[in-house]
Amino acid sequence: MKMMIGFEVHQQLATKRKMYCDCPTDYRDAPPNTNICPICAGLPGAKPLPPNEQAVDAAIEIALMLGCEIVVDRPIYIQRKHYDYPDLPSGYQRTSSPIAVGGELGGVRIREVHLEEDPGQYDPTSGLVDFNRSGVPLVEIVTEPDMRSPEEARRFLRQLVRVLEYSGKVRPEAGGAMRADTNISIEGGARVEVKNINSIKGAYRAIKFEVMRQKAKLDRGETVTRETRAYLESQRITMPMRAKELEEDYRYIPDPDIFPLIIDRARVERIRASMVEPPHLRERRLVEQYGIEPSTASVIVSERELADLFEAIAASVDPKLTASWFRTKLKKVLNYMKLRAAEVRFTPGQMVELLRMVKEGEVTPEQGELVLRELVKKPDGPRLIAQRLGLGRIESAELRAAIEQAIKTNQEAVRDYLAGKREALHFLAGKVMELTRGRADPREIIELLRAELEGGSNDGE
Amino acid sequence: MDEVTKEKLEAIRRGELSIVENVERALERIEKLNPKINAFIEVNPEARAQAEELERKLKKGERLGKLAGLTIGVKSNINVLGLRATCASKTLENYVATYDAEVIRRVKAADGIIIGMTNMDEFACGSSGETSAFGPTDNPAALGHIPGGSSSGSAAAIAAGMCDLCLGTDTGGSIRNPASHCGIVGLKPTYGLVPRQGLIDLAMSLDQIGPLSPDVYGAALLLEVIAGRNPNECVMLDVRGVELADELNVDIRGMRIGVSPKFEELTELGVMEVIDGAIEKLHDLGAEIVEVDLPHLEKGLPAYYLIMSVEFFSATRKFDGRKYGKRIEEVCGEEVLRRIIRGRYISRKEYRGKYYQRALQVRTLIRRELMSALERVDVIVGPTVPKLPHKLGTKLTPMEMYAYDYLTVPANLAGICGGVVKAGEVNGIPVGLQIQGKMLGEKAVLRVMRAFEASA
Amino acid sequence: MAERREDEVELSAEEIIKSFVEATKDMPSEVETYYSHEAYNVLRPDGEPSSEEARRDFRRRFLAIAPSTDEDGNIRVEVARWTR
Repeated sequence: MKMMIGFEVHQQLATKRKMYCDCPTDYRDAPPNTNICPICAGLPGAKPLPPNEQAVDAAIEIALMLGCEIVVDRPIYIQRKHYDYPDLPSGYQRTSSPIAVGGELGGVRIREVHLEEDPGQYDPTSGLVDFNRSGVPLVEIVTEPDMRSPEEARRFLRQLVRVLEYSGKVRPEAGGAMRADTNISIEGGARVEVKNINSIKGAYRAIKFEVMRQKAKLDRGETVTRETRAYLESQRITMPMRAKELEEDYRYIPDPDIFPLIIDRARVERIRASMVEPPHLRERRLVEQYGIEPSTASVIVSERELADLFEAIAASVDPKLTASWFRTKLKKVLNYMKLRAAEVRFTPGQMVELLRMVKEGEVTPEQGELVLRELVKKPDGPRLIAQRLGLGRIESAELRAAIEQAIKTNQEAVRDYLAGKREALHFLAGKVMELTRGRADPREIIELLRAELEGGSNDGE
Repeated sequence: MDEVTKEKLEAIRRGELSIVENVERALERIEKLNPKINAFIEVNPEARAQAEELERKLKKGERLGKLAGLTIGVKSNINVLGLRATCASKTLENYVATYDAEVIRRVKAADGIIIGMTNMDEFACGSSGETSAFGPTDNPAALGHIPGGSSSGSAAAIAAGMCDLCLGTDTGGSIRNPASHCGIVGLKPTYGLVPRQGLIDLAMSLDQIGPLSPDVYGAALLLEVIAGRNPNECVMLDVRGVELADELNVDIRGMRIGVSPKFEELTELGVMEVIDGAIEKLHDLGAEIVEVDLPHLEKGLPAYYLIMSVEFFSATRKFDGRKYGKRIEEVCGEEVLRRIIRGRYISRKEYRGKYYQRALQVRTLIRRELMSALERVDVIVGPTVPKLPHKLGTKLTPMEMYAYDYLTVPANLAGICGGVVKAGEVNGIPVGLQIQGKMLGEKAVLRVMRAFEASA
Repeated sequence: MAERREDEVELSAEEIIKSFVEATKDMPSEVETYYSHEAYNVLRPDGEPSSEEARRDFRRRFLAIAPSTDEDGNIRVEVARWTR
C-alpha cells in the first residue's frame, strides 16, 4: 500500500522573554494566567514589542542545521494567520513567511522553516484557557510528504528531535514533547491532516490509526475526503475536528504592527560560524575520521555532550578503544545512574588516563569499569580511585600461588574438569578471583588455569 | 478662541487660577452641558484628587510638567487605566482598561489631568459621530448638526469648552473632520510620530493619535508631550521629542503654499468660497501660492475603505467575547458590521490580489503624488471636508457618508501630517482649512495654522 | 439572527468595492504599500523577563473583567464541539 506522510513540527525556542513581549517563557509550575500582560493576552489596544532577536537567530541556526537555504536579502513578513480558537487571544497567530527553504534530514525533504508564536493552552474538554504559554517563540518545520510508513515517520521525528536538542536553541524541558501536525494520504484517498499530536509516540499511533481508518474506508468502497482531524491521546484515535472544507482560509496579511525582517548573508555566515554540527552529519564524520562502526557512532552522537566528550578523549587515546568503551561501558553506567551526558562531571583527561591504564594492562577492563563508575559518581584521578578500591594488576608470583592454592583446595572441581566438564574451569577461576580479590584479569586466570591443569594431565604424553 | 490655552497655563503658573478650580469648572461645565451635547461617556472620578495633588506640588514650589493642570479629554478608543475604553460600542461597554496607553503615560507625566472619556463613532467607524452606542453627539458650534467624526466627542468637548484639550485619533480624517465641523483646531501627526501602544485599532497602518484644541498653541503643546519614539513599539519613526509650541509665531512670508484644482472639483461651492478666502489671506500674509497637480486624489477614498476594512477585520478578531466584552458581530452597530464583512470578503484568498493588493497599489500612487507635490511646496492647503455637516438624524447611505472623507484620507494613505483651523462659516456652520505637510513637517503646518489664526 | 443581519448589510458592504473597481480599472500596476514608511529588522534583544510583581496588578484586572473564570485563575470558555 502506497502512502505519503508529512509533518509540520513545532518546537519552543529557548529564549527568556516571549516573542513580542517581556513576559517569561518558562511557565512550568506557574499558576494559570500569571505570565501574561496586555500584549500576550490580547487586550484591546495592545501592540507587539519588536520581535525577539534571539528567537530569529535561533530559527536561522536550526534551519541551517537542517541543511536549508536561508531566505536572504528579501523582506520576510510577520503575517497574521486568522482563525477563531479559544487559545488564540487575538484571533490570529503571528507566523513569518518562510525564513528558510529546501533542507533535508534523513532522506526527508524540509520544505520550509517559519518563526511562530505559541498560542495559549486550551483544554477542549473542560473549556479552560490559560495564556501563560501564549507568545512563546516557536520554530515551525514543514516537511514534504516523503515518509512512506508510520515507522519511517517515527524515525524521522526521532532524528529531528535529536537535531533540535543538539542545537541547544529549543527549550530543554520540552525534550521529546514536540508538537506536530501530520498529513497522511494513502493511494486512492485525499489528504487528511491530524492535529493535536504531542509526542513522537503519539504521532506514531495517530498515523497508524489513520492508515487503518483510511484503508478500511477505501476497502469498503467509500471515499476518503480531505479534512482536519484531532488526535485524542487518551483513546488513541483521531476525530473529525472541522467541517470538510476544501482548505481553511486564514486571510494572511503582513502584520501592520511589525516591520519585516531582512536577513543578510553576513548574518547567516555569523550564525553558521558558531553553529553546532548537526548530529546526522557528525555521525558520518565520526565514522570516517575515527574509523569506528556506524552503529557505535550513532550511540555516541545520541547526545551532543556525549559526542563532545568522545572527541575530546579520542584525540589522545586509541579512538576505537574509546568508542567501544563509550558504547559498552560509559553508556551503561550513565543509563544505570539515569544521567545525561551533560551531567557528567569528570574531565576528558581523567578518562584518557583510565583508558591508558587499561591499555597498558595496569588494570583489567573489568577493574576499569569499576573505576569508571566511581569516576562518574565522584570524579578523581583514576589511579587514586584504583588504589582506593584496592585494584591494580597482581604480581604474577602471587597469581600463580593463588592458582595453585585454588587447585589444591578444589580437587573435586579439578577432577570434573579433567573429566570433561568445562564449566568447572569457571568455578575454579571464580575461586582464583576470590583469592586475588578481583585484581587479576579473568582471561589471564582462565589461561593460566588451563595451562596448569592440562599441562599437568598431559605430562605423560 | 485665540490663545486660550497659553493664557490659561500662564494663569495657573502665576497662581491666578488654581488647578482644582480649573478641574471643577470643567466638571461643572460637563455636568451642565453633557446631557445635551453628549460629548463624554465617562468622567474620571479621580480628577479632583489629582488636581489637589498637583496643587500641593505647585505650592511647594515644584515645577510642573508642560500640561500643568490642564484638563484633557480622551477619546474612548485609548486605554486609561481604570476607566472604560468602550470604543462607544456594546462590544466593550464594560471593558475597564487594564493599563495606560503610552500617550496617557506621557500626558500624566506632563501633569495633564484626564478629565474623562469622550464619545466617538463606534470603533471610529464613521464620519458623523452618530454611530456611537451611547447616542450621537451634538455640534456645539452648530447645534442640531453632526459634529463630524469619528472623534466627535473630543471635538464637541473643545467646542463647548468642557475641557482644555483632547486626544483624538485619525485614520481617514477622524481628527480633522470633526475639528472642521466644530470650528476648532485639530492635528493629525505624521504616521509613526506618536506611539499607538494602547490605542484600540481601526486600521493599524493608518491610525494616528493627535490633539484637538481651541487654539494652535494647545495643539502644538499636546503633540509635543505625546510625540517621539517608544522603544516598546515596532512600527514607529525613530524620532526623539519635537519642540513645537515655542516656535509658532514665525511669519509665513516666503513660504510656498500649494493648492490643487482637484479640491474645487470635489467640494461644495459654499465651502470652497470660504476656503478660497482663506487662501487669499495666506497670500496677503506673504505666502506664495503655487498650483500643484493631484490627478488621482479621489481614487484614495475607495482604496482607503478597502485597506481599512481588511485591517479592521483583522483587528476585531480579538473581540470574541471570551476574555472580556461581547462577541463583536453579535452586538455591534451596522457600520462596524459592514466594515467587518467587507474586510472578511476582500481578504479572501481568491480576492486578495484583485481588491486588497490593488488598493495597496493605489496607496503607492497617492503617496507618490502627494510626496512629489510636497517637494515643490512647503504645505498644501485646501478644504477639510467637501460638504457641510448634515442635520442630526438625517439618514445617509454608506456611500454618502464615506464622501465626507475624500479630502482627508489621502494624508493617511501617504502617512503625512495635516492640521485644521477654522477658516470661516457658511450660514453659521464652521468650515475648516486643512493644511497638509510633509512627513515630519509639523512645524511648517503649525506655523501656517498659527499665522492664519493670529490674523483672524 | 446575527447571520440574517449580516446578509442585510452585505450588499452595502460591497458598494464601495464596485466603485473602487470602477475608479481603478485603467490604473497601471504598482508596487503595494503595506506600511506608511518602510523599515526593516526593528528587533529587541532577549533579556530578563518582567517580574511577577510587575504582572500581578494586571492579572487581577484581567481576571476581573473576564466573563467567567475558575478558582485557579483560568478563563472559562466553551467546551470544544469535537470532543462531544
